[in-house]
Amino acid sequence: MKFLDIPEPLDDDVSRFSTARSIRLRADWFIRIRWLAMTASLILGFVADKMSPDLNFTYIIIFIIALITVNVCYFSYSKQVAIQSLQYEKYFVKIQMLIDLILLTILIHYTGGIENPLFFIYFIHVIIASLMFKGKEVYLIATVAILLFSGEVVLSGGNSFMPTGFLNHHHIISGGDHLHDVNYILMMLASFWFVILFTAFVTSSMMDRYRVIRDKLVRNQKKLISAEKEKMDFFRFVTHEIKSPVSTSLSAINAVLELYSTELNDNARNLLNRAQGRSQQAIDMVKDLSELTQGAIHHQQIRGNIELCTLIRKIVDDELGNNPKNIITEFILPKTSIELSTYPDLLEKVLVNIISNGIRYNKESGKLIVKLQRDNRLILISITDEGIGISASDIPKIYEEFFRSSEAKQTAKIGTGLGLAIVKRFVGKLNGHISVTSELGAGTTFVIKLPENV
Amino acid sequence: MDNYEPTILIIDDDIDLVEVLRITLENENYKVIDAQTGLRGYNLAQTMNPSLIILDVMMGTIDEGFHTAYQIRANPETKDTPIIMLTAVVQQTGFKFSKDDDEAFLPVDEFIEKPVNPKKLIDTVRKLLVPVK
Repeated sequence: MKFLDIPEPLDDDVSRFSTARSIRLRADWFIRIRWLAMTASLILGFVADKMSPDLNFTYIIIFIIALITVNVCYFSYSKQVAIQSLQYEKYFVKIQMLIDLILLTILIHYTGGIENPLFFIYFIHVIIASLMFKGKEVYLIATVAILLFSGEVVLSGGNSFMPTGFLNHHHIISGGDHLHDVNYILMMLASFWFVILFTAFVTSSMMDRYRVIRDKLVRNQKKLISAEKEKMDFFRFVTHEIKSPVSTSLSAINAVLELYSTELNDNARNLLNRAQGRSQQAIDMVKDLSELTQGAIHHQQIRGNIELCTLIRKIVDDELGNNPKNIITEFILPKTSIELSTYPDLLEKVLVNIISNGIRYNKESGKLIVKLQRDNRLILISITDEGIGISASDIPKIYEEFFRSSEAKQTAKIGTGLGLAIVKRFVGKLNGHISVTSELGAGTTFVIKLPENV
Repeated sequence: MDNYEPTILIIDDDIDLVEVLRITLENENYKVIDAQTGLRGYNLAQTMNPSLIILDVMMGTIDEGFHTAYQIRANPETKDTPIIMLTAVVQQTGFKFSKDDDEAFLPVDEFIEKPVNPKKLIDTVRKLLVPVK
């Protein structure tokens, strides 16, 4: 059995493209893109101006000023006006796109019309439209682009297709008779229409498919999260229901052994002692399982600052108690204190588990070495014992729930096999890392690396 | 004063645990009365004026014991009666359990975790029943 962390649910605004907020976020993104487009236009215009003597740089400057003006308007609108209804937000973005396309057409018109490769930018608009809108709306943007560009080409004077056009054609390339050839222009326009419609078709179909899959994933993830939560609630209910009667039984056994011990014969006392041990095991198991599952469902722990040297000394003292095994402790601590901003409850449980193992599975008069050091922004805690050790084949299994090595079972009959599973999970929650080196019969070293700030 | 038997009120819906506590406390010559709900316990505290109250956290609801403790403290008759709270729910209810965190958080004098260790229970009771000057 595995106790998984329940992932954060995916954001609805990301998953469903058609929320007012997601549209507004994308509109804000356009505003940023537009600043970029202005810079690019300025640089490109400058370069083109050097290369093509026919190009009039003033038009580019006018275009950039126009773009700055509209973009500042959008920006202040977006900052000042709260998110409106979905329809309204879509409307707002469509107006922006329309104005962008018109401005682009004007820029293209004054910088060579059909001669200017900037008409590729129409395709970018269609692709962006497919990210935000569905079906007809994408084709609508494609159609607007077709009409604007074709209109510019057809209405511009200076070509044989319409020798006396309404608008003057502004050359950027001198010569090139084909640019004034009706067949060439028709071919160009036909290719443009085809490619732009095809782009609209492909991108909107891909996006439709993507949205279907994405929505399905979000739905399924929500179902999974709620199923996992129900499982955990049920699990916690069951463990609590088991804990209460076992706890009362153990209280009764404790009372008998404490109050009437002298009246019991040896066999009765022996059996009650066994019952006491096994009941305590059940209680420990329930407690550990509750910790493990709480770790899975409670995202919010209480943060706090702790001083690590003091905490470690306190835990070692508490766990040693009256030190029946005569464990020799050695602290290698830095001279200055180590303050951590962390989740103290989680960290304390990690340290209690590792240190109590180091004592429990240590040999008589064995050493327990606790070393603490700071390495850049990392805190390294290493805990070494001279106990039973872990065989190389068991090392990969020690963090599994309910695993206890045969050596551990021999040394301490009663144990839940959940301590290191809890440690591993909690170290993960502290953004830390735990590693172990061990030699069977010689001892074990656990090294925990923690960031200074979780 | 030799015959003085402090009365201890146990408020807990687990009748088996009440029995364990009663036997443990009577063994130390305390007089024990009990109630199975917070409300009855509160009423009994008013009428019997016990020297100490042992109160379970989880009874009918997850936090019935806390509310009972607040009620007992709110009443002038019982506001100084020491309360020992029995808990099996550390970190499950969301209530703070450590007095160090916030002195005013809960009107309880001591906590004893279940399963009950009789020696610890007696020690705690004795500590709280030391006559105040």
